Amino acid sequence: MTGPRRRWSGTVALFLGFTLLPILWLGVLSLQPNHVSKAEMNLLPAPVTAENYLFILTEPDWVRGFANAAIYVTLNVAITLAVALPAAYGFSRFRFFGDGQVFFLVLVFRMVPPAIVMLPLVQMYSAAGLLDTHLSVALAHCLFTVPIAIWILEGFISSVPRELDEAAKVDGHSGVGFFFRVLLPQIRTGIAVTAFLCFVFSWAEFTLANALTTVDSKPIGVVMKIVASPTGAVHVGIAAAASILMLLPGAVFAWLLRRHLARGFSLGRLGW
Amino acid sequence: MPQPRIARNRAWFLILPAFAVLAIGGIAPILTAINYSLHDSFGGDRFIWVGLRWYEEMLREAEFWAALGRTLGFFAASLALQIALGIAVARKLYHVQLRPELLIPLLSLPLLTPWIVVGFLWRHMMQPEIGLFGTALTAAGLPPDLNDSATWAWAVILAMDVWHWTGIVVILCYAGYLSIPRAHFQAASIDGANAWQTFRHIELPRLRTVLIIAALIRMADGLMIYIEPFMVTRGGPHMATTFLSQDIIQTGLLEFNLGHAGASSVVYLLVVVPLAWALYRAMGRDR
Repeated sequence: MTGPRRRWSGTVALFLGFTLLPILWLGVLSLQPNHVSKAEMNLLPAPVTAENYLFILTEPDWVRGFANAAIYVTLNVAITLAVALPAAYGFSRFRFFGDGQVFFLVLVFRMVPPAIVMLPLVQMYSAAGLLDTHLSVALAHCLFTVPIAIWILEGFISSVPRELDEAAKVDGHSGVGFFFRVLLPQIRTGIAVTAFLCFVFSWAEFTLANALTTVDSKPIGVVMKIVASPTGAVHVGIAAAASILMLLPGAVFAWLLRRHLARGFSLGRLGW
Repeated sequence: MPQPRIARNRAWFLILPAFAVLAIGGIAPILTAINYSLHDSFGGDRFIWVGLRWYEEMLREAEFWAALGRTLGFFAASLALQIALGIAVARKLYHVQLRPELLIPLLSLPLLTPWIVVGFLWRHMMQPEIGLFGTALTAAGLPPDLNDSATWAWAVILAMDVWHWTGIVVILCYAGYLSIPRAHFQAASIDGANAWQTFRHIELPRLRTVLIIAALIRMADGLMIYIEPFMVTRGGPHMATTFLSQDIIQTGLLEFNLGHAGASSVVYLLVVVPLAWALYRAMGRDR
């Protein structure tokens, strides 16, 4: 780029240390016995033990917590993509009454705090008999993931040349056929990045997931709160192990999509 | 490169399914919150129309203004830190760093961390006797005191927010740097511009859009922050870190004062939406 010789930058190294050290230490806490974590500060686990992980992986409540989160996140991603893809296509290709304002309005939904919609949602869902179901959390999270998805996908679809639409029409594709057979394969990456960002939100969100679930569909984060209370963790080792397990799927997806992260995090507005 | 779009009002049908989902998840609850704010409730099932009484009461209340002020102050302070640090790191990634693309996924790890984990981790890291940073600070003669010192509480949750979200600014600014044509740097070096002049006149103007996007995205989560600081400080000491979300949840859910919670929600939206609109307009219509 600008200089011929590239090296490690001190600023970057320091920032990387600040970013990774807490996560590495979380790993240390997860790999040593709880009584050690509660007595001393170690930079390496001493002694190493898998007991915290084994506890989580053999306790039905915790395993179900992971399954519950995975179920409502999957549901959320499926619903989000199903409704956001046509919308993004509409915003990208057509001018229609109020399109600019509506495109902004979509983003406003992303800015509504969970605290505000939480009480009305609990009342609405309990009236509809949906409380403590995976669908209730998935739908509630749609309020935040649908706007993200529309913005990211609109960015990706807008970078597909218009000529493709016309060419497909000439080739005899119907509107629907074009959408599924021509457009979707073109924006595969965009769909993956969108799914990833929806996953990140739905997997990380706590307030709504906590309010809308009680027993049957309680996610892992809510289960974890019991051993990680603000007044002082009841069981540091288990809370740390649960934290690491909750971080893993996101880390794997982020690595697979590493070249497209900017496109996703900027809501489809830019990339490299 | 924006392509010309075809005028067709029927395209509304493409938006409709998304709008239906947003209506169930968003419009209905917001209308319900507005409805709460105009009524007094008994046990959550009997409602009496009270007009604007909750608003009058709330706007006279010091607690509400303090929570709103703290929320805006916390957001402004953390965003300023994140942007300054984010630009500094992105700049080094672009100009100096070896294989910067391999570091990006590592820098994104805090962004992927579940919010409850962020709060738990920072609370525990700051324990003066056994925490990663707490022991270091204690050794330096500055034991963190989250229970009694408002200064410590603010310092820790600001550090936590910087840790949690600076990565997004770094990633966006790095993408911004990559979009600057190389010729601009060559021209600057021929003109004999120093590092600061290059940054001020070549780099910063090019980062404008990226920074607006970053501010917009940060605003969404930053203003509604709840569980992370709650896990660290429980809003204390003496409400010093009680933000609006916590205030709304406490009055609404714990005290079951739906009218008051609804009115705070409406005022919150009246603050956020114009701010977001200003940023959206500043982004320009290049979408």
